[in-house]
Amino acid sequence: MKNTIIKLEDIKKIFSTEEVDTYALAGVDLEIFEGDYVSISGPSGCGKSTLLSILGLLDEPTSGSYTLNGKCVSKINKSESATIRSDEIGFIFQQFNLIDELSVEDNISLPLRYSDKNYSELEIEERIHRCLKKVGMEHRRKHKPNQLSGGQQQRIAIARALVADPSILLVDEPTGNLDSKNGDIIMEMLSTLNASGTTICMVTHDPRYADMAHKQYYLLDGKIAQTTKEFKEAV
Amino acid sequence: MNFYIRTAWQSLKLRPLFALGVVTTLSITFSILLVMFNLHHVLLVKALPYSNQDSLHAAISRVYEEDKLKLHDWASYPAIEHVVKNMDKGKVAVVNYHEELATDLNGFPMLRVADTVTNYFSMLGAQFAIGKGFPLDLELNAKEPIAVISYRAWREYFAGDTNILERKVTINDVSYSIVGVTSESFVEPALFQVGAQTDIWLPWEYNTWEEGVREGWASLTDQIKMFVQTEPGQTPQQMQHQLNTLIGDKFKQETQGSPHIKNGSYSFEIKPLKDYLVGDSVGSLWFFIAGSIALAIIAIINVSNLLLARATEQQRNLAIKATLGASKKKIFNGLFIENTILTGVSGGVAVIIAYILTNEVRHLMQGMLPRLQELSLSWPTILFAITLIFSIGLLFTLMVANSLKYNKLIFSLKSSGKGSGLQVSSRVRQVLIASQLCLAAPILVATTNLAQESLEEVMKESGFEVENRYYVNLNTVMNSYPSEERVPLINEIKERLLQLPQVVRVSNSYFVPMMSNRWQSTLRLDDDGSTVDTYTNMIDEQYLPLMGIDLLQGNNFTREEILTYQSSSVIINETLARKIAPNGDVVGKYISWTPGNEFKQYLVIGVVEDIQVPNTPNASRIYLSRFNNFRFMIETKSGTELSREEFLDVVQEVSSSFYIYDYRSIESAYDSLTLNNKFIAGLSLLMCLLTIVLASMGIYGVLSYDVNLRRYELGVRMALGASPKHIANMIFGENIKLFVFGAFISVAIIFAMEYVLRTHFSLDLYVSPLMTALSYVITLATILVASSVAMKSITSRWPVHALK
Repeated sequence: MKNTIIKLEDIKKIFSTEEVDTYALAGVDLEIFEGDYVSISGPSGCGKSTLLSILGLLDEPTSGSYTLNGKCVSKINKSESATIRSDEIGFIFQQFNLIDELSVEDNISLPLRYSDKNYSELEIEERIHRCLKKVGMEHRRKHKPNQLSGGQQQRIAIARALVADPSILLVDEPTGNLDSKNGDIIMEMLSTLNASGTTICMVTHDPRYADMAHKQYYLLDGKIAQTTKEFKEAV
Repeated sequence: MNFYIRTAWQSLKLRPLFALGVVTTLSITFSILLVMFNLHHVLLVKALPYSNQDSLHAAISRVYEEDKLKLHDWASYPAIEHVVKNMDKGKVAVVNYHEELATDLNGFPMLRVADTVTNYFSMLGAQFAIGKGFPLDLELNAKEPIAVISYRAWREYFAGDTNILERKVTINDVSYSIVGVTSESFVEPALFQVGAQTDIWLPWEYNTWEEGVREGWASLTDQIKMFVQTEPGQTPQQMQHQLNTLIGDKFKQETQGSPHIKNGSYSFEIKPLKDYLVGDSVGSLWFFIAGSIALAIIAIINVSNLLLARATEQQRNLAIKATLGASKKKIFNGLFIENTILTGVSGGVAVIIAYILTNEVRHLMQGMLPRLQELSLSWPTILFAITLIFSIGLLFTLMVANSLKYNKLIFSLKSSGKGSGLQVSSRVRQVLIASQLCLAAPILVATTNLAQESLEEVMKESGFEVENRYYVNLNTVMNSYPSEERVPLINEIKERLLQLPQVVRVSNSYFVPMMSNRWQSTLRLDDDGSTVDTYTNMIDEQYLPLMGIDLLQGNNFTREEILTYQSSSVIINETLARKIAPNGDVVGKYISWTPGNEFKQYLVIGVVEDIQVPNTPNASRIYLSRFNNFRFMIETKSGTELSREEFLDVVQEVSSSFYIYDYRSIESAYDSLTLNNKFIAGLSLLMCLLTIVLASMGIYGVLSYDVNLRRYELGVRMALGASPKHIANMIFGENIKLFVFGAFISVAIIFAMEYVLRTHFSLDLYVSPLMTALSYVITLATILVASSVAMKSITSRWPVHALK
């Protein structure tokens, strides 16, 4: 039996103004197991990004329960969430989000440097090397992000997401800023990573890439309506 | 064009806090800059209001002893008369300044009197509202009782009487016929005291100098001033040579064997009248001009930062305009109009504030700065303000336009705005912060030190009491009576004053302590025959206890010594005692002192503690017994007063011919000596405060803008696991590095400033380590607080907000 990495129970996120309460998430239940490759898709404004923010501990739910690796994280403080993010979650963003002034290797090292585990410089060096090799970018380790193409930047972002050996990769529209050729390369890379045991949860609106995941969920009006397979069958 | 002005105005109206911030910052600093520019222009650039000002020069007396300069700008009465008599009459004017009571005017007002020669008015091209100046044939020593009064005196003391030429004014029992009233626009050269305005001009011969001064070539006074007019083609050097040829040998001959001066010589230094009037009193003006320029630069940096922040905000709108076909020129024009509206409103407000401040400066700095009578907001200052408005507006526009990059504007519409919009490079931001530090730190160091120096002078322990003490000087006419007649009158006044319930002590002495630097004389020490210059006072037995000056050794004068007027005793101060004997043990020793031409031996009977007169160095002092002129010091009981009227009643019971020449509380007289220090301290602290506020606003603005621009980057870092502590360490670390960098440069600037002031302006900038450290602590604290506040807005929220 596979271990549960993420378990969401009745997660709600409400944005309140003086006049109206808007339900970005209206009671989401979701379970992701070790080694899963999950995609979440849905129309604009359905709550995909909000869900990913809550999964990544970038935001807190208004209510509901969130368990990550068996620990309840729905009401932790910001410092604790930072520690969990650096050690247990890998992020891959649509805009790559590499820091311009840092070199490729320094960008990759960030999660290790923010971790409370006090990695030695030797270990950091070794992990950077390993991750760069995984994404085929060893020869670019001294470059600055603006010296790389979009596809190369996203590969560096993947390396950064992997460097702390996280329990799960949270991937937000990884091909949104890439041409189809580079998009395909990145998606191929994610499949390979999953095949080697990495758990992935990806948000995408591209059905072609959503299909590459083993489990596909469809989000509508802040709720997981059905799996994409069920949705397709219904259509 | 109307469209652009309207839209720029509407755009600014939507951002009232931004507009208010810019206008407040610029208008305050611009107004200070304008006041300083105006002061600089009026004092240093503007020509004197005399048509022949280029040919007018001050002839400054210089007296040497053994080839060493003894006194500068102190004149010998007979030497001056000798020169005037032997020079071309129309080319030299001499003036003696003093104050006298006008005994036939209501309230016996004290008038500022200038005794002068007939060509004084013609050399200055004076115009007259009524009548004329002295007749051209009035000889130097002619006694013709005529007077010219100033326009101000005419209005104030004669109620603008149009029949003024039929009226007379009585001074020292002489009734003078008024022959003229100077025009309202006439500005006299304030040769004696900065800002002092003469009320009445009398013929030279009516000066009140006694015979000893009139004939004593070695008796010197700073009240007599002379100015000359060079002829066309004559250089100032030639004029100087002419004067020195006249006086050189004559002075040596006349002072040969004088006990007051050994191997004395006399010469004149010719200096343009304008330079002489300005004198050294503008030293602090240069400091404040430099300070105001630095403040203006800080303000411009602050506003630049606000404008860059606004440019970021405006980028999308500008991109839409560019997409719709607005050319680069039109985008530029729009920005220029908006910036010119901001600087124009600031400039307008600044001119109004500067106008108000200029009027205040004219009143507040009276007596501290020269030529204040001519001070008003001048046309060059208004032109400067207009130039400033357009230049700064253009500068701001160029800066914003440069950061916007027209070619990239259109593409910016495509960007999501997540860290890819307009950003000012981190180097620019670092330069902005470092320059704030480089400018603010030296101003803070200089102003705090200046304030400290001035306050130390104000707080200095004087060594004498001033509270509940009064000083009265009766009219000088009675002083010319024989001593035998004066002493009984003085004693009677003292007795009657002591009968008043509030009076504790009365002393009949020459000078109150803070005025006791007026009489300098020479002592000969009997041990080795060397001479010492010393300040001299004549006191009675009540003076020391009344003024609270402690006797350190020996005794005070006795009542008998004073009454019999037969004393060969002297009391000296501690500084002189240590000059005579290093251990200060001098009671019983003899010193020789000369009141006239011969030295006479005096026995030292006591040593008193030193007194400190504000803004003057410590000096040797001697106190001789018995002064028999009509000057009194009175001590009253705590919480009581002695009014001028009460005093007048007492003295008029003794003789109805007494008038009060001068009456003041010693406390207020003492306070007036430190008024300048208090003003400079206040101004320095105000500038210090303004610098802190402006620099803090600027540093906060730049840092918060910087942090805000990095919001997305910080969000990414937080997403990757950076805790608030990590972010704080990173931001603090970066800014502290910046502080250290800026501090190093500013320290270099402070040392350079100190070097330049010392070597080129002979001004000592004492850099107090404590104040300097305090300045940097304040700056560092500002940086840390600004970083912390700006950062808090990001780290106190979940990372998702920064990533939006």
